Amino acid sequence: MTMGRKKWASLLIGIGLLLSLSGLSMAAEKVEEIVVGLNLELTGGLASSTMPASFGILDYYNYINEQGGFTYKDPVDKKIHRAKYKILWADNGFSIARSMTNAKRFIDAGAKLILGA
Amino acid sequence: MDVAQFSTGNVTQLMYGHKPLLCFANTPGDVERLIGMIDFIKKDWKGDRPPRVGTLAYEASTSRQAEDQRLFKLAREKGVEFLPFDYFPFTATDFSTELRRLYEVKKADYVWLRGGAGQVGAIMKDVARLGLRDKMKYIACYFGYSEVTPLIAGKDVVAGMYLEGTLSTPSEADLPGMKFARKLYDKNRKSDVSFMIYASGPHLAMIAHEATKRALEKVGLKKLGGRAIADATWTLKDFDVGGLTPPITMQEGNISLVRYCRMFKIDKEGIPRPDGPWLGTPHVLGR
Repeated sequence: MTMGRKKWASLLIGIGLLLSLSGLSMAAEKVEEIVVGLNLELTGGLASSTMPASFGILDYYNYINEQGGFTYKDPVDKKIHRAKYKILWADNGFSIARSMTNAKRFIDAGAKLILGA
Repeated sequence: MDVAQFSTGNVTQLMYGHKPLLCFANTPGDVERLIGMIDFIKKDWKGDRPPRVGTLAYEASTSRQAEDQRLFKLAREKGVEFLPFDYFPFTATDFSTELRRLYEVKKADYVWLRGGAGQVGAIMKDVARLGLRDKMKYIACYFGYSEVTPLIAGKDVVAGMYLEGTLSTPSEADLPGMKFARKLYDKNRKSDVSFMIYASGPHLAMIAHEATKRALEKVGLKKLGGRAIADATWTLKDFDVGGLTPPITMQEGNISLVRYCRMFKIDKEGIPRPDGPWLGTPHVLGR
């Protein structure tokens, strides 16, 4: 009976340890988010050239995220961090007005980086 | 605004208007590429007078800014005559007037075509219809040729024309960067868009991604901003893009990520083949 209690106690401690370790591991694997705005030219007069390039940009950022994002060494805590991109995209239709609207939307959403074709 | 911007288009004078410089493009300015192209024209020209180079460009501020007096002066000094540009309305479907003017009045030997791949296809179709295919030599700008162009004009019409490109073409399929771009394309796009210009997207994005990573390692997430990303971009030196272009090395004050262009000749199948080495382009804009 005593042995049984000890076994249970060990098991509970083990589970507790596992949970706390997995919690730590989840914290270590916390994925940061970088907002990127893609001001794409998918339609409009030059779309025969700009649409393929636009999709090429979008596909690359999706590819990075599909790989699980990327890692970098943080200069403050000196630890390895993982980040992914939050991809915002919109068609500008080869229009300056629409480009401006898109850019404002991206910046309002926290983008520090905008790419376009 | 603390936002860094990257474009697959070409550098323009306007992009230098914002200080600090936060805008980058993976193509040198028109005037910079045209200056880079002068030596090719000189070598290609067999006549006993300076060759005359005309331009047919869509009407837009970005086309107008290419008509830079520094180009005309430098070309003249090197023995090449650049003619005042001709423009066509953005929605034009007939280019007879402009093409006849270039051939009959301006007596151009070469015509630089500043238009999208579809527009250049329509222009070349008119070139053939007017019997001007062998009267002048035609050079499409870096975004003026793709798989779409021969579909519109015909392979026999585009064969022999040139492309001044800033990116390797699918004929160089063994390049690591081209293989990667093809893999992305095959997974996501298949045949719904043309591949030739597609590769400029991953090319630009991999540079911007590298700059973002470097900025994060320098300032961390909380301080990540456009200025930090731009500062990191300036640190790029020999950054390998898998041969899509020569490695990226930034030059102080020059926002062009690539400082090269290359001449390609279109073969009988409508495929651009390299016709010489990468040509260095000077830093002209923003000065």
